[in-house]
Amino acid sequence: MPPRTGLGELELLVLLALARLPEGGYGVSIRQEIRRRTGRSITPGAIYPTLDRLERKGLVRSFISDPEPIPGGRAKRHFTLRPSGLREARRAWTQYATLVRGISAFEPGSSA
Amino acid sequence: MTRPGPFSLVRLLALGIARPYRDEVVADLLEEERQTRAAGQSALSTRAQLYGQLIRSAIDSYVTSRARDEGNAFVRPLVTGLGADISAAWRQFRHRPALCAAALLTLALATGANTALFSVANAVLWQPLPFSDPGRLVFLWDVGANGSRQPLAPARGLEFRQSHSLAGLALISHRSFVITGLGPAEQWRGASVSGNFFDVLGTAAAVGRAFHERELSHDVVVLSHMLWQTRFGASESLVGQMITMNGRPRLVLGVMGREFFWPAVTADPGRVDAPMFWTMADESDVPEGATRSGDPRLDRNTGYLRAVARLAPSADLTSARAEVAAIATRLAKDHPQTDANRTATLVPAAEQFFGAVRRPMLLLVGSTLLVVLIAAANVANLLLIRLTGRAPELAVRVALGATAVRVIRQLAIEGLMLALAGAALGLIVARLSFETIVRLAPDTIGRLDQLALDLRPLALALVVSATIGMVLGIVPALAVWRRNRRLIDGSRGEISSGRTRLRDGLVVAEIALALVLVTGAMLFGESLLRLRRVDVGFDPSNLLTFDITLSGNRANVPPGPYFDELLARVRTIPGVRAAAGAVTLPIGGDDFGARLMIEGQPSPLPGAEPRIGYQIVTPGWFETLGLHVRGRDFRASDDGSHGAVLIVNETFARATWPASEAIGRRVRKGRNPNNPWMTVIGVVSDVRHAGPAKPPRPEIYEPYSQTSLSFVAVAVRTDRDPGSVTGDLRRAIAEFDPEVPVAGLATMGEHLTRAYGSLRFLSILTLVFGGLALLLAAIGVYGVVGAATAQRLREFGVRTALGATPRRLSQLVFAHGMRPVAIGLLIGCGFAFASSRAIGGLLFETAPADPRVYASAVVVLLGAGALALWTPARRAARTDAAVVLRSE
Repeated sequence: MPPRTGLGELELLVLLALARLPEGGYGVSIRQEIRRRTGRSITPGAIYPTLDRLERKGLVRSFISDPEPIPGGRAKRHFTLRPSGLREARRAWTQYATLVRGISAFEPGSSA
Repeated sequence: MTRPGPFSLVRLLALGIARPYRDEVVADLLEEERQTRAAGQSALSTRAQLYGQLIRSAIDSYVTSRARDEGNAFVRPLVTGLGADISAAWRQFRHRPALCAAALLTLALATGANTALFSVANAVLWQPLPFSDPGRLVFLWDVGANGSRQPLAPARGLEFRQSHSLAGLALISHRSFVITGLGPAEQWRGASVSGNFFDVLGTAAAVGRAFHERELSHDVVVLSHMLWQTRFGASESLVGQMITMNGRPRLVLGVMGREFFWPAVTADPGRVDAPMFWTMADESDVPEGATRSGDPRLDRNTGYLRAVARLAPSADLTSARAEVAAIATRLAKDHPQTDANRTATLVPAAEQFFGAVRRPMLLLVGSTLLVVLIAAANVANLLLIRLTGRAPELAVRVALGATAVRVIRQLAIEGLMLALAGAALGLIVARLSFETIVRLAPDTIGRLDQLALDLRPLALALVVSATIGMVLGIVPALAVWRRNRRLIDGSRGEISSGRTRLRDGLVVAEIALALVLVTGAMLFGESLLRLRRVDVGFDPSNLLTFDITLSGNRANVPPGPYFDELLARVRTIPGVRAAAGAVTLPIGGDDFGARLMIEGQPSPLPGAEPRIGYQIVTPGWFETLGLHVRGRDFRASDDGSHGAVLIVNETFARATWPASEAIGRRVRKGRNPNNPWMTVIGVVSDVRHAGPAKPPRPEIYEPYSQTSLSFVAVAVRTDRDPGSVTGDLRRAIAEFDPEVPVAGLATMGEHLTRAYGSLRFLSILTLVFGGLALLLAAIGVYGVVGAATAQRLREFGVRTALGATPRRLSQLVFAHGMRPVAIGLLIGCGFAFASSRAIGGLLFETAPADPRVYASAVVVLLGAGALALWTPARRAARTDAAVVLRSE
């Protein structure tokens, strides 16, 4: 029996993107990471509610950074992955992997 | 980083984003915009991406937060399933293509026509004039004893400068100059103005500079933007160069801007082309300086100056008018011989330039608004019909648990989509009709070269039709929701009487408004027909006209032999039957007048002399135009040496010597007793000199050999299409004299079309609007009765079963359909009659309350109504009782 998870697809994407950013990230860098790796363009209007939700679930942590040292620079909300977040992402991935196992279309070398 | 202003589109779109994320989202997007722009993308495309992202973020910020307790309880149900609703609406339209197309067409035609016309009217009615504080700019006119506005004589022009109410007064003389040294000689129409002209207007030049009062040299010229562009290819290096005008070099000081709108200043608008340049006048042309106003050498008799002035800060129009009139009264007392019975008035600039077209334009704007009203009623009707047809569907939805918000949203989206599509089509209609309107517009409208399509009315139309669409979606939907049980019964096809009454009421309104427009169209159409049928006194077909002006040395020798040779050369061109010249063309030309003393009749009071049209002609003029002369025509020997002669027209002869023969009588020009008496040798048939709309004026003709003129308008009668002769004509004259320009080459047909201008414009546009109104009203009748018939099929089935004949059934449908039409016509007659006063002065020989026109309009609308009822009536007549009743 695989571990259960309540992660949505977008939540998983965000967690994995944060896992790839060693220093964590903020809205723009997270979205750029997702776009660079998957080609998916996610609007900031979708990112922030998702990050909010992940924070309430205790999977990410956020803090307000100091303003950037340039004229007009702003203080950004910075997000980092908590250990529980990494765990949850791994759990979700295992759940998918368990389900996929045995479906021929997903076997390595299949043309799909 | 540039922060968006409080009312920027970014701020506005950001309002759609859920509050907790708004600032962060906007900051992120602006940062990204900056990055993409730094990467070399165009500002436009990055902005477009930004707007798109903002809209998508707004939706996402709600949709993404929906899964948990976050989010907005009201907005959430409005947003979920939006796509499904849009595709549902699309399916709805696809199922009823005819209804949907009718609504779309209605919206597109009405909003398109309205937008196009509004754009034209805007330039005339509401755009400020391109002068500083244009509201304080006035034109000063002499007012003759008969109340007509007249140009000022030089002495009077200077004397009005004494007025304390006028801060500055510039005098203008319209002139034509011959330009040499730029290739073949050309003739330009322009204005010779006093030095303070541009100071009074308060407008600077766009290139170079304008001239001012204390210029060192008077030999300067400022060009119009049009001339600069068309003749000089907008070359900036032109400024500072010399142009030879009438043999005298003048320095080009500057070029006015494109927006500098300055038509010819005339008492009778639109008969003269706008000046192409402004030269600084010299003393012989436009006098300068108030100090010289007492100079007895200044002319008090010949009025040719126009005057523009700026109201002094202390004055308003009423007080300035009073002061100007007081000065005129004093002048009349000081100079009883010349200035008695004359006064003067001030005309605001907007009225001077646009007064004549203001009312027609307002009328047309009113017409398009009526069309929009009809369209709105029509769309309302079509949506109501569709809703009635969908009552069962909606009732079922509600019964299955659809919330009110969902149902209403569905209907609102349909209305909104219809409005958006209608507005998009309307934009196309607007573009097409805008160009047509500009092409049709008479030249009196002015500023046509600066017109641009104004999209504000389209935006307004979009908002209005979207509102109609949504309200019509929502109001009945609320009713559906409240009474959903009864509406399940409604699936059997009864229609509520309230809604029928509303629909009939809309038809009544449409028919009434359509009648107003159709009546107006018929009145203008009738006027135009009558105007076109007017006999102008000569055959205007196959008649080519152009102007010849002599300048420099040519103007200094007696021009008679020169013109004789030139005309002889023109007559040898193949296809030319006759050619002759006159000082001014009938219909296309200027208006010269003379004051006359009649031998044996008491001299009229100064200033109260009847104004007589004055022509100077070469031999063969009457023959070329095809006028009949009783008595004898002019001969080359009529040079004044054996006593001066003249020919008068029939109107003059009848008015002056009603009881006796005119030939042999004598008249004298002006009040000077030294002027020679001239003997009438012939009476010529009348010509409508001032255009087809003006009755012939009393007119005298003098032979050119008896006087002197350096300018002729030539008329050439051809025996083929006059256009085919123009090439040969230009060549022949260039061979004859390469330094004389052929100006204003046009056929008499073109002059006539210009003369029909305003009425032609009005009648074509009102006909289009009338036709549109008729079409929309017919669609309305058809829609309402068609739908009602479909819903009454069961009733018709019962009636058939009880013995009603098909004929009886069609009668029923006709009676139902014609009742709102008849009521509408009755009300419409009242409206049309009430509005007829607004168009009275714009018609030609047509009474605005002509009962025959009303009757025809009523018949046309009845016909359209009957046509619209044809299909529903036939459908009713073919009702098969068995089929209908079995379906129950």
